[in-house]
Amino acid sequence: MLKIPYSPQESRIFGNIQRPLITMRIFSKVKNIWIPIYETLADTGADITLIPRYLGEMIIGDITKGKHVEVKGIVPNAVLPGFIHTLKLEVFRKQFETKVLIADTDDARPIFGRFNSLDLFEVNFNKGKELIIN
Amino acid sequence: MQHSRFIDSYLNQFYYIRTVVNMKEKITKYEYVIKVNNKIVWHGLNPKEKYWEIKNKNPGKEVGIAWQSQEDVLVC
Repeated sequence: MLKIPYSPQESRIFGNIQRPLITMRIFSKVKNIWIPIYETLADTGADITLIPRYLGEMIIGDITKGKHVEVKGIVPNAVLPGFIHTLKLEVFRKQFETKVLIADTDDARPIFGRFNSLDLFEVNFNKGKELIIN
Repeated sequence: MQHSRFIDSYLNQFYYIRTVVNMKEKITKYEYVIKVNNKIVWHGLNPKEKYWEIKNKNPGKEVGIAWQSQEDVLVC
């Protein structure tokens, strides 16, 4: 069992907000090294794992070689373009390959989503305090 | 009259600068942060070359990267 406490972050609305932020390591095919990506949001509402453009370029070089897609969230009329790539990840001490959306913008928060990512684990979002991974 | 024109010109410049500053704040509402052994050593908008440079200068240490913003509420 692994426990990861939520991280406090500042918010003008709440003053302080606790978020389930994790470290996601992604293997860079460009340099053959693992790059730790801190403060990645563990998000059960996201279908897919997502990283912003510069991180994508550090990991695979030319991001445009992937399959072009446009994804939507809850914001009406807002579309996030990006490219799907299969990357090697290490999260919660486990290595696996999964499809990752590399956003075609840097204004996109790294997210650890469900498809072949969070769904690989039994995770308890415990009362806004900690993640418990069994 | 001349004095008033001088003040108007000064105020216009002030409002222009304030608008530019506000625009920049809106544009740069996020940034990347590079940490060595969990200590912030760099922050900015283009981390690519900086990351490799810092990584090379810190062999054996964990060099990671974070993306930070000033979002008050996250609804993903």
